[in-house]
Amino acid sequence: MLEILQFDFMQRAVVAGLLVGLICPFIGIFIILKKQSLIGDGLGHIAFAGVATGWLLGIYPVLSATVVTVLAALGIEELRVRRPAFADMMLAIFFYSGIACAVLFSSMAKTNAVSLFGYLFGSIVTVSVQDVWTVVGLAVVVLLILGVIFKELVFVTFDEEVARISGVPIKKINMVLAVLTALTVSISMRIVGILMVSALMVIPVAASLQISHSFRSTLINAVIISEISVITGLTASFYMNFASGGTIVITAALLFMIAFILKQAVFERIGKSKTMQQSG
Amino acid sequence: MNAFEFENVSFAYSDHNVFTHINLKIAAGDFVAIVGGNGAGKSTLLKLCVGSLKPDCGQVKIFGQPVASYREWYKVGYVPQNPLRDKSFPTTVEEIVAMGRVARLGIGRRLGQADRDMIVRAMNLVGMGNMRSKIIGQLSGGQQQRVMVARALAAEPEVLILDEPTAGVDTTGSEEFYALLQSLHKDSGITVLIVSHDVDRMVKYANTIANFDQGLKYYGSVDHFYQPPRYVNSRKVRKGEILNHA
Repeated sequence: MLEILQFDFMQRAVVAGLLVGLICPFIGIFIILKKQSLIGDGLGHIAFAGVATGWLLGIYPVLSATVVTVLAALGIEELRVRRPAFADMMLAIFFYSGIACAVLFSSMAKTNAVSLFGYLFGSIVTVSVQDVWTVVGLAVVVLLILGVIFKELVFVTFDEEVARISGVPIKKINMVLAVLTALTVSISMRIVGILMVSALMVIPVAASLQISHSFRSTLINAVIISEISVITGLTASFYMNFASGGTIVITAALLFMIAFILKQAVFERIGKSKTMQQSG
Repeated sequence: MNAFEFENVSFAYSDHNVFTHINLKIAAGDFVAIVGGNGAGKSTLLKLCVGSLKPDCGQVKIFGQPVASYREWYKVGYVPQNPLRDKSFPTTVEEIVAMGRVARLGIGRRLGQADRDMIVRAMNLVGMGNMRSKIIGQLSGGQQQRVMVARALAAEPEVLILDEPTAGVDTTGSEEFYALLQSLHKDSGITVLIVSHDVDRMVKYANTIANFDQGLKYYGSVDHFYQPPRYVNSRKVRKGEILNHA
C-alpha cells in the first residue's frame, strides 16, 4: 500500500477514493431505507449529460455535472412530491433523457474515447489535482450539511408522516437529501465511474444491513465496508491496470456476499439456539 | 381551554361526504374514545386534527390557533395505525424514542443530557427501559406500539393521538396498553384522542365518547352515553347503530 503512495496520481486517487468511500454510505443509508436505491443510478446518467455539457461548452466537466445533477435532483424530488404515483416513471424519464443528452452532446463535442471511458468507468490515472480539490470541497459541504440535519433525516426516513406531524420540515429535508445525493454522485464519478456511481452508495449499506443491529452500527459498518472496497479496488487497479470503478464495485459485491452468508450461517443459528433455549 | 375545536367543518372524499358542518370542542385533559363503524370518519377526524387533511369548509383549531398556522407541533404526540412499515429497518428502541426529541430540539441542535434523561424516562414509562437496545422488528406488536407511544411521550406532548393502536395486539397486550394510557392521562394530564375498534376495552378507560355514524352522532361523557333507558351495548356501537344522545 505504501509503495503505491509514492506515485502522485495514486496519492490523488487515494485521497479522493477515501472521501468517496466515506460519503457514499452516509447518503446511501437514507436512499436505501427510503426505497429509492435507483435514484443514484438515475442521477449518474444525468451526471453523464452534465459531463458532456462541460465538454461541449469547454468548462470543467465535474462542475457542469454537479450543476446539472443538482438541478435534476431537485426536479425529480419536486415531481415525486407532486405526483407520488408516477415517481418511478418520472425517474425513468429523467434517466433516459440524461443518457440521450450525454450521447448527443459528447458526439457534438467529438470527445475522445479515453476521456469518455475515464468518466464512465472511473480511472485513477486521470484524477487531476483540480478533481481532488473539487472532491474535498464538495465532501466537506456534504458532511457539514449531514451533520446539521442528521437526526431529522433519520426521523423522516423512518416515518415521514409522523415526522411531518411532529413539526419536522420534511419537504426541505427531502430536498436537501436530493441535493446531497446529487453532490455525492458528482464527487464519486471520477473514482467509481458514472455507470457504477450508485453501487458504492447501495452495496456497502446492503452488506452492512446483513450484520448490523442499530442505525448507528449500520452506518459505521457500511463506511468500513465501503473504505475496504475502495482501498482494495484502487490497489487492484494499480497493480492489474483495471478500471478502478469495476474493481471497487466487485470488491463491495464480494463483501456483500460474505455478509449475506455470515448472516445466514451465524446470526440465524444464534437466533435459533436462543429460541430453543427459551422454549426448552 | 380546548385542545381542538371544529367550527362548521365539512369534509368529503371525492363524492363521499364524511362530515357535514360539524361543530365539536375537545377539552384539554379529556380522554376521548372515538367510535363508529367502518368509513364513519374516525381516522378522518384525527387526520383533520393533525393537518394531514384540510377541511372543505370551516376550520379546525388546535389550542385556539388554526391548524394551518400552528407551529408547536411537538406538543402533539401521534401514534399512527401500523406504525412500523418496514420491519427490517435497522433501528433500536432507544433510537426510535430519541426521534421524539427531534422537533422539540430543532435543526442543528444535538441531544443533551436533559434530552437523554427524557428518552430514558419515556422508555421506562411504557415499560420498555430494559429493551432499549432491541431492534424494533424483533418486538411483538404490543411492544412496538409501546415504543411508538414512548417516542410520542419523549416530546413531552400535551396531546396524544392514537389511530387503532391495538390492531394486531393480543388481549393481554391491549389491556396493558389501555391501562398505560389511562395512567398517562391521570398522572400527566395529557389529552388523549383514540380511535379503536376495541370499544369494550376503550370505554373502560376513556371519560368521553365521540360516536360517528354518517356524521357526529354523540359527543359527551361515557357515563351519560351508557345511561338507561338508552343503554347501548358496544356491539351496536361497532355496527354504527348508536342512538343520538347529542
